[in-house]
Amino acid sequence: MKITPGKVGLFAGFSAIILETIFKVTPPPAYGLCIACHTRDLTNWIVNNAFGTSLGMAPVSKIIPVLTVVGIFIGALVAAKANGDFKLRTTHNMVVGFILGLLVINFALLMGGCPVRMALRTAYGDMISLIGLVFIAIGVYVGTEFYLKRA
Amino acid sequence: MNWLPAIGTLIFGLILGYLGQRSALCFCGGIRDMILIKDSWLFKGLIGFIGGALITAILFSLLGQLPTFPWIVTKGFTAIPGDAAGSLGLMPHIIVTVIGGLGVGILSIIQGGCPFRNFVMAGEGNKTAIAYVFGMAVGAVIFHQWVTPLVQSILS
Repeated sequence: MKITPGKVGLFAGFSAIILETIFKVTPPPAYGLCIACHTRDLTNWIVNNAFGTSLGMAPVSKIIPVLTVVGIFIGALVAAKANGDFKLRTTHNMVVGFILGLLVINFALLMGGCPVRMALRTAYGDMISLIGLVFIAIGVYVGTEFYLKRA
Repeated sequence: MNWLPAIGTLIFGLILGYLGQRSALCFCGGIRDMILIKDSWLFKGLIGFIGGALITAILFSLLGQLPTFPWIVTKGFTAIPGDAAGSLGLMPHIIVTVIGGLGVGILSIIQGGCPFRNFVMAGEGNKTAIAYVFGMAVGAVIFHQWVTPLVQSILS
């Protein structure tokens, strides 16, 4: 069976709810799958334990943090190694990449989740996150107009 | 029981990472391809995700396992109570959502993918994506240390 984005999207949406209901990745609601929030939980958990700070994180991660991002990284590494796609390379300047990551998570947490969680919240019927998805699309449009077409 | 969320997310993360690498799933990339070359190949990932989550949520709410579904608007959906948007009223919440959405959209196009895609690319050996991941980790600390109090003082 060919692995297409459509099928993987369907599986990811399914597993996000399974995680929330069966594996109890809640509260907050609609938290089964989120890249920005789960990165935040893991980082802040480590920082809090190492330096005794009290940075904010979701209630579910207070004692043991959710490990989605670790799983995704290792899963992708295994897939790339197994299928011969693994190759050390750079797409553009690493400092620019670092700064972009720093800014993206700030914007994502400002709106309360990365694109994945916005889609999950939309499926839950949250109209605010539908606005978020629409403005991500507008942002993508602006980005392609001013960045890709000019370059 | 506290281990359950961590174990569950780790297992599903491994599967999603594998599938994400094989399919190049990317939500921002899907929207970009749709706008730029009218190609719906990646965009189906976003549609499939919303569809899959919707069907599963309806199923579990019928089984009585998902009390938060359906159609609860705003407040409870922020990542944590007291998060930048969580303690605000409806209008400030929409404002930060609009700003955040525009920022994520534009910056994801410059980087070449949404956060999920970048974690997968980091696993493929893309050093820029690895730098992006470390940027996200540092950004999370900065957000809770300085950005959250700032946003709340501006908007409240």
